[in-house]
Amino acid sequence: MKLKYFLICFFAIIVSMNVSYKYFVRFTEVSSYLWYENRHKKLNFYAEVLVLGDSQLLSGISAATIAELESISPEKVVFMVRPSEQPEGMLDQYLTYKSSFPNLRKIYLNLSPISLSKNSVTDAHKELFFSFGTLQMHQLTDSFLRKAYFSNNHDLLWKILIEVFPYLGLNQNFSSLFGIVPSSATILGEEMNYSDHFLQKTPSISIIKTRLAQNEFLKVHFESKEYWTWKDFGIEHKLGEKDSLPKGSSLAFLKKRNLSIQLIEKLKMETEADHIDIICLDLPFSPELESDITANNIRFILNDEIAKFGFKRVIRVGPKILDHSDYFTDFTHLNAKGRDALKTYLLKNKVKSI
Amino acid sequence: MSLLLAASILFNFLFGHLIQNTVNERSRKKIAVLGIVSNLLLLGFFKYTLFAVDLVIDVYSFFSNSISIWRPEILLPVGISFYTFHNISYLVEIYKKNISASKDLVTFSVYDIFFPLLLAGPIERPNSLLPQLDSNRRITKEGLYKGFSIFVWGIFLKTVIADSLAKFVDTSLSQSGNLTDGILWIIAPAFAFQVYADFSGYSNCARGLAYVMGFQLMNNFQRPFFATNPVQFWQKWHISLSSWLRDYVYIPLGGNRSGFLKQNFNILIVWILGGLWHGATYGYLVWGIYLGFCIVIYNLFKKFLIPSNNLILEPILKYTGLFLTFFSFSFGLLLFRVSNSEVLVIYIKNIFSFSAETLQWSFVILYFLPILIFDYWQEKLNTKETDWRLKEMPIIFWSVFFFGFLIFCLLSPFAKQEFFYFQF
Repeated sequence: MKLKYFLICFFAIIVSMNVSYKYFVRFTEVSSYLWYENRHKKLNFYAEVLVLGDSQLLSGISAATIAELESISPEKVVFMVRPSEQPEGMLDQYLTYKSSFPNLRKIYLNLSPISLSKNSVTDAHKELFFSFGTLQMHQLTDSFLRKAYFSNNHDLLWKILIEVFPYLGLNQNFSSLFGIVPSSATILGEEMNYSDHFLQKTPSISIIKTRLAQNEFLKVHFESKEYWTWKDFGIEHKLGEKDSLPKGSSLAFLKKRNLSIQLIEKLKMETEADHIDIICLDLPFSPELESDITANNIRFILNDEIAKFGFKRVIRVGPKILDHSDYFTDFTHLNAKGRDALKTYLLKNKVKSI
Repeated sequence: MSLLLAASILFNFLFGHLIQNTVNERSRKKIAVLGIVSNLLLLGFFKYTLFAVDLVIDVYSFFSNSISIWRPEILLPVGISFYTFHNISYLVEIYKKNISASKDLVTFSVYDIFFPLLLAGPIERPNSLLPQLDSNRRITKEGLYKGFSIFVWGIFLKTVIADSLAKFVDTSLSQSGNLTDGILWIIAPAFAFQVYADFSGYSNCARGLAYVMGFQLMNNFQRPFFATNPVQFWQKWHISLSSWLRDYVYIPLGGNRSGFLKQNFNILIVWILGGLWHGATYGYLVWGIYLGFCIVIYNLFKKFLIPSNNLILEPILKYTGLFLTFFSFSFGLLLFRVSNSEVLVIYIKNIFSFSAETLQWSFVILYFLPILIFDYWQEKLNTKETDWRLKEMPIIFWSVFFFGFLIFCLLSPFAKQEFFYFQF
């Protein structure tokens, strides 16, 4: 028994994980795949505008629209939009990529009740960051980012382990498929027709096939476009009349997350130092969710917080502009029709808002 | 709880010396009995008080009398079942003059609550562990690698196999009313492999850690599913408990020295206690009785029906015994989940029924394969403990480690699933 076996084995493990990683990523659920794609995006050195935000922005606006608003070519707009994005992700991405874009002069970011409150998306973001984000020194040196991502040593150790053994980052996507029976009604994005009364097998093969088909679709889609209508894999969904929002759903966004506010303030401070302007996009949710948000006074709180940041501009697209369910694919994401309506509105009000 | 543990350590340390220093044989015996009874009372109070209260209530209810008894809130101290047995064997061995009382309180404390085995054993003997603690141990390269190989195998067993099977077993048994006919023939073996992977996984982790630190703990499992009869099974499963019960209960009761009837009566006593050691519920009590009867039935068969040294029948008996031993144990585990007589009837009916639908679950056997292959290999090598043949065939361990680590990282359900034996 020699040390060399130990070292060779670990070296072989690390190499095989890194080599085969990209093949396994094709079998992950959509948000994971989009994070992976974002990490491997080709960066345009001459980019002038950086777009940061979550899937609401990914689904709601195109680089061409931003380019038209800014009167620049679409190539100069970089979309670094990720599902379940949170303020820590925005600050992290800015600090990571700012040196790659020496001509950067403006950042578009979207803020919503989801990004400024403590809710399940905050945890989802952290999980996605751990699995598919990159470990950077500024995440440790910046106190706010450290608090958001590495509040204890265990988190940091886990992230380091994922960097060394990238399969650990894929674990959440695959371990649930390996289970003999589904552990919950949802397997990372896949809604299961799960019943407590009858024993069901985990439909691993069909989930793997679906994920592969969806990610292949996205791969081709993102070769020519940077936006993507949420959950559109060839057939666009429309928010149907049958889709009813339970009353009080927006209460999940009521708990203000102070760290989110501190992170946005830090982002603003960093960008100001680099002479970069921030344009805040405040896009509406579906009329049903907006009514619920208004009823719970959450919109007022959000507007108040956004006003305090003192952004260069705030483009607030009120719920009256996109006031029909037809514009939405679900309660939070615009569809193609909604995206077009938003584009028309933004360009019509270009002079007023910019 | 820490105070209780400290008091228990101090009490047994002092009693050890008291037994050793007492010359008069009758007084020695009295002190030893007092020490043992005190330990049993401590265990009994924390583990069996609520069961006793429930028992009284149920007996009164049976005779149509309602009774109101205060039910105290009692938290079970971590590892109490294990360190109480450590203490009892320590006092007994001193009384028998097999060992000397530990001179150092720290050494004794480490023996009592040695961290790798505090939560789920093995129940180590003082004759083995105390001399190791007293000696100048050396951490060797061989020990490190051997410990590492045993430890990682334990982790694999627990996280990849046991936790995956646990979800299947829990989900399926929680819907006893809707079980597919005959599916217990798959669920029960899955339960057996879950408990085996979980418990032997923990034991391997404990033993692996101990090896790394220069200690050698007793082996707790030796391919139990290759046992061809229940007696052999219990010589291979949770060896530290079954040998403890043999040495400190069965033999003092008379063992097999007082005739066939008394021997089997002793076996029943031992297994009722064994069942109750696992937990203070009717389920464990019934389980203990069931295991005892399995052995008694086997003894009856062996004595009156099975001809000895029949070369033609031997292979048939061997494989029949292997099948019966495995399934009698597996079905016995279901008793843990029997909450009432209705569930028991459902289970029995299910075992004696069949549906083609059940066959679609036969893929569950794939989850047993790593254990079966490894144990078959160990059986062929006739090893005494988990042995990867690191010196002779390092390629085997490192190849398994390579693929096992990839599988572990990708597929292991990292959501915490407690070790099965922590509850005991």
